[in-house]
Amino acid sequence: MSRTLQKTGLPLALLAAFVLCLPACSGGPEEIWQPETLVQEQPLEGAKFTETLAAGKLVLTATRKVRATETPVERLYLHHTETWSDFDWDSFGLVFWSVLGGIVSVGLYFLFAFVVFDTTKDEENK
Amino acid sequence: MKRTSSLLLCLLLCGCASRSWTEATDDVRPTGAPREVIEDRPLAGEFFELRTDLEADGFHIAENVNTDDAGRVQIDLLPPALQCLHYGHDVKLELYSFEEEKVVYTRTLTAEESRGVIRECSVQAKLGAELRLRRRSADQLDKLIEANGDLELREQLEAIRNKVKLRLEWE
Repeated sequence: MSRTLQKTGLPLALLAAFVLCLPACSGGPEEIWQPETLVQEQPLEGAKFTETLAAGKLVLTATRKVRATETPVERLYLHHTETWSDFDWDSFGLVFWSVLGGIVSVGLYFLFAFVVFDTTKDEENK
Repeated sequence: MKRTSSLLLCLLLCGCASRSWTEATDDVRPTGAPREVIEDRPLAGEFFELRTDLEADGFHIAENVNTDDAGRVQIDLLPPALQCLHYGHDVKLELYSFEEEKVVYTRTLTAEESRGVIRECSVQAKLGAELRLRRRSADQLDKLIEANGDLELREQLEAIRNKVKLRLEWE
């Protein structure tokens, strides 16, 4: 009997220990290289304004001559995944008593419906 | 032991949580040759100060304006036009660039152009458009209406006056 218990209990205890060690075992981040274009702009001269006059408003369009250098590159992204045990006794107590309360409620329903107010007894007495 | 282990495992599994996130780094590696182009690009998101001449009584217009994504900046010419007609001389409009720390654009608004601006604004006012002015510009409008002998211009100014809404100091 004790051997059977050891056989089943030990793996479960080890599994529990494994879950506890999850943060330490989460490993390093995953490296992902994603393509993108690096743009570097160097202004060559000052801003130029193009005027448009309409309906009492002056609309100026500002442009500037620039030297743009576009370099196709790959950027390194690190994808982190973290797992940890978020257990606390408050939430456990809430779930435990909710489940227990549910079971007791259903039990009380059947107790009152079929034992305390048993209609079949009245029919039998007749 | 079995029950205790099972209970402990259940408790731990119930409370397991995980999160994942991606972090961009500064590490880059080139994958091709750089391409160089020279072109005119719109100046997006630039901030300027619109200024007009400083008058003897201390009046001048100073408003912050900025360009949109297409590099456009819209300037309401009604206040400078009122300044021009009220003080009786051409008004110089200047755009001061906060980035370059200098005046990057200058334009003179003549009396003739100011009358054109008043005419266009009066048409919009008659069509129901709301015109927003600072208090001092609105005062100039009132004084122009009172002092002006030109009936056509006076009528246009009155049409504007009916649709003026004051711009508060913080606006």
